[in-house]
Amino acid sequence: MKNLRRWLLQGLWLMGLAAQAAAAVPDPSDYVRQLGASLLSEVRADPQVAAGDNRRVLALVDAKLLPHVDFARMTAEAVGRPWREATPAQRQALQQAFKTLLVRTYAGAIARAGDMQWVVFPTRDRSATDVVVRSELRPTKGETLTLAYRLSWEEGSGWKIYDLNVLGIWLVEVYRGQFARPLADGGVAALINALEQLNQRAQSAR
Amino acid sequence: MTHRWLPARILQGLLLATVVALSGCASVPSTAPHDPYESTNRAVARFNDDVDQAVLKPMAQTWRNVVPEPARDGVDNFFHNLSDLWSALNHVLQGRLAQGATNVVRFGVNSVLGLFGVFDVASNMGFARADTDVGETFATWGVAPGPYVVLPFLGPSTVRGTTGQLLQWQSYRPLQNVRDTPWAAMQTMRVVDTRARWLDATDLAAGMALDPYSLIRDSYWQRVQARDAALRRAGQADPAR
Repeated sequence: MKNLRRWLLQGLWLMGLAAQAAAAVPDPSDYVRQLGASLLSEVRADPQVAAGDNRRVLALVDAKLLPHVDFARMTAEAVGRPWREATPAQRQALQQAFKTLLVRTYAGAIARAGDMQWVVFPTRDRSATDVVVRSELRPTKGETLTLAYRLSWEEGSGWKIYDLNVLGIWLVEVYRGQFARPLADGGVAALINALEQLNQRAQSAR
Repeated sequence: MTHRWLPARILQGLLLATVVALSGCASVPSTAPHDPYESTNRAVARFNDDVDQAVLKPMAQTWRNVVPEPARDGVDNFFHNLSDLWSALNHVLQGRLAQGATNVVRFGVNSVLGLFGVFDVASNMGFARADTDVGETFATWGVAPGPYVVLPFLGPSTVRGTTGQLLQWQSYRPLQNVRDTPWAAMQTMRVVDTRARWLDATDLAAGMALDPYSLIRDSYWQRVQARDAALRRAGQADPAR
């Protein structure tokens, strides 16, 4: 009886190994490295982007980067519980406003990253479908910037980025704090309103 | 940011006054557990913003527009060279002897070959910058950061960081007493230069925040946590400890 149980357990364990091997996913570090390299080469190739032309940077981000980002998930996690009660139209508006804000924030950084050296560290656990990929951006002068990404794998859609860490700070967590006040005061509608106002102010300040 | 331009004693007095004021205030319930003094912190942050808008930021903008980049780098390098020695001591206290030795080498090389630290030749020779301070030494020894505090003039800190800052000022005392050193002018230059380096970052924060105070607080807090975790990992990995 004892032997049988051990034999069964070993069998199960072997089957588990086989299943893992079959579901082997592409290396997430390679994925991030390739995505970044293609983005950086576009930045370097386009003098208008390198000069910080915001509209060109936005177009580049929309075409090259956003297809690899699970933006619905990012927004949902930053909003938290109220996301479940939001209407589809509200969800759309939230995503749009949040996206505008983030792209505006990072457009300048992307334009400046052109002449930096970027090192992506390997991912240790190669069977995981939810990973953190760490990297360093090394400018020719000054201090190294640490960047990290949370990615999750899904059959069919592949790897998607759903959080970003700059200098030890996770973006979604910071925005969860930012969203909490308007959500508590006036729910999803108030948050949409606050985000759109911020975007408008930044637009007119430019 | 490290601003040390006012005489240390005035600043220490201000800090004490803030601490006294803090103990009397905590009336408005805070939204974050790590920020029990939120109402006072917000008031101090507003004060810092006013000082910044009226005095410091305009000076920093002029500084960046007028002084060429190599000269600004020289100023940054000079003060960084002094802090390298301070970092060295703290690396040793944290048990990272090799890193401490590297910093001493950096200080020596830059002081002699880099003309009193104006040129960072050590970095080009492969001795990379690695900054640390007393707050991080406390962290390695297992001291918790304590609540978030916004210091007048100095900005975001923690109770642990504030204690470290006070100790660090004491260590600069002998330097202040060197005769004929235009210490106040040099410190002003240092503060303005530091602020100039943060111009883009603060503009960025203003454009990405619904509430700048809590954005800065939460980012600062996450960074403290991440840094502490990294220090703990480094402490465990180092066979010398």
